[in-house]
Amino acid sequence: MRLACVTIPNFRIALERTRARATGAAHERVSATTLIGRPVAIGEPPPGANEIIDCSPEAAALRIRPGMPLRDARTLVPDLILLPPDPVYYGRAFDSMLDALEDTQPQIEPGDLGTVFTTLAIDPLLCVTFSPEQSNTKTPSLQSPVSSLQPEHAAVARLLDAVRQSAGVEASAGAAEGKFVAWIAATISVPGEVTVVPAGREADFLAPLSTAFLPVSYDTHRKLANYALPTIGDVARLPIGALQSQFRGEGRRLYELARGIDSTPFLPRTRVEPIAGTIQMPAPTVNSNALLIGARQLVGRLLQRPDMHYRQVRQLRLRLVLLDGGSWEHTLTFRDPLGDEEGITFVLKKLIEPLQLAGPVEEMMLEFIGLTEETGKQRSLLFAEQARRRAQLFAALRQLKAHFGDESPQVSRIVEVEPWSRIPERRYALIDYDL
Amino acid sequence: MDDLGRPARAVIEGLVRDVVAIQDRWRIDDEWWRETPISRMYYQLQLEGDRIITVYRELPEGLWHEQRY
Repeated sequence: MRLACVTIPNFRIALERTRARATGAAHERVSATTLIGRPVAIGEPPPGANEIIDCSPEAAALRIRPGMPLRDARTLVPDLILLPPDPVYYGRAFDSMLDALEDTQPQIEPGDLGTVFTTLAIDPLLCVTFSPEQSNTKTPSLQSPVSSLQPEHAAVARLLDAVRQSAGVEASAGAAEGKFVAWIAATISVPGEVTVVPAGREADFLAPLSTAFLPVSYDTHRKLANYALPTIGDVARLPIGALQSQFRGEGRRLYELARGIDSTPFLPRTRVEPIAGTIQMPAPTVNSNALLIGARQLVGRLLQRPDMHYRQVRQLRLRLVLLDGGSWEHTLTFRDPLGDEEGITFVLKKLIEPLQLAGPVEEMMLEFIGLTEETGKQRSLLFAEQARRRAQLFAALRQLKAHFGDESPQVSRIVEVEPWSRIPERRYALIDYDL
Repeated sequence: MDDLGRPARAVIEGLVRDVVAIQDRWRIDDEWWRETPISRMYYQLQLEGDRIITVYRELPEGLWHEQRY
């Protein structure tokens, strides 16, 4: 299957630089000019993973690598500019990139952050202009400029335009048979350019490239280095039996990948209307009780939505925007689908309570990303009385609202937030009842 | 306020009441890293009629408020 791959190298760094140019500062501690042409890395500080997540080409040239402990990176490059990650910003930018590409090509599959695969729907008008004879005479070399009049080039170039307009970042692209070869074609392309690998030429294309491109385990990469197999062509020359005996389960995959055979299925993105909500914290806080109250408020609000009736949640995404401009994000998958506020809040509590954030939270976003079809669930008899009183309260509130309309009295409840706070008004919060 | 800047009388429910005793006082300085830091001087006052209230004065502006909870 002919696929295109569009990738933005060092996606997070590219976004930080774009933001720096647009706003004048990527982060309040870093001025915009310091991000251009300098070794920049994004690192998850403790209590997070405490390692490099992404780095600029300048940093990579100084041997900074993703996964490297922050302490090692600072020792290796003392003037490395280290930025805290902003996953919410990256996620939004990636979503807008996906939307823009989907407008150009109907079927897309999101890969790693900054990488997208699409099917290649060639514009028939462009195809008409090329007779088979012309196509044969214009068979592109393995690397051709965007300006080539080849239909696949034109189709992929439109994808690059879409990314440029949506993310403001220059992407690179490749087109080939299967995801693996398309991804490598995109990765080795200069930003703004397209590499098309003609069908049947995959092995020739891959042969001179480093085995570092092969998506296999760290152990396999180490063995490939020990066996003095620096290029994919070296691997392709080996028989399948030899590869299987040396690399066990990965031997067959190595054999196929080295020949440009990739049977990984293309899984188009299914677009669902997100069920999401946002809440601004009354005051920036790191307090888990306050965060939990915000989360409970959001869960209640989302469960009240008409499209959630009789449906349950399989997966949710919690995003926290921090005061210093950073953010935190986590996706949670439930063991069993949940459809009640208590159940979802209980799981969120387990997530939020041990949380150690780099700064106080300004904004909280909750999104239900996996929903079941309409279903029913037997409730526990033990909580029947509690549930009945709660239902009565909500019914009374709904009647009030129906009676008074927009002028209905504001009904709130008092919840304890920071009972130990020296500032009395921080100890409690008034939370609205959402109907 | 008296000469020392301590509360001497309080208006409660429209009635002026003398302060009989200052039972406690404490100062809070917090959120100094924000644009509007919190700096307050709290007083726990015993008024005539043995009513006890808690008031605070915002520093350095000097506005007085009653803390009811």
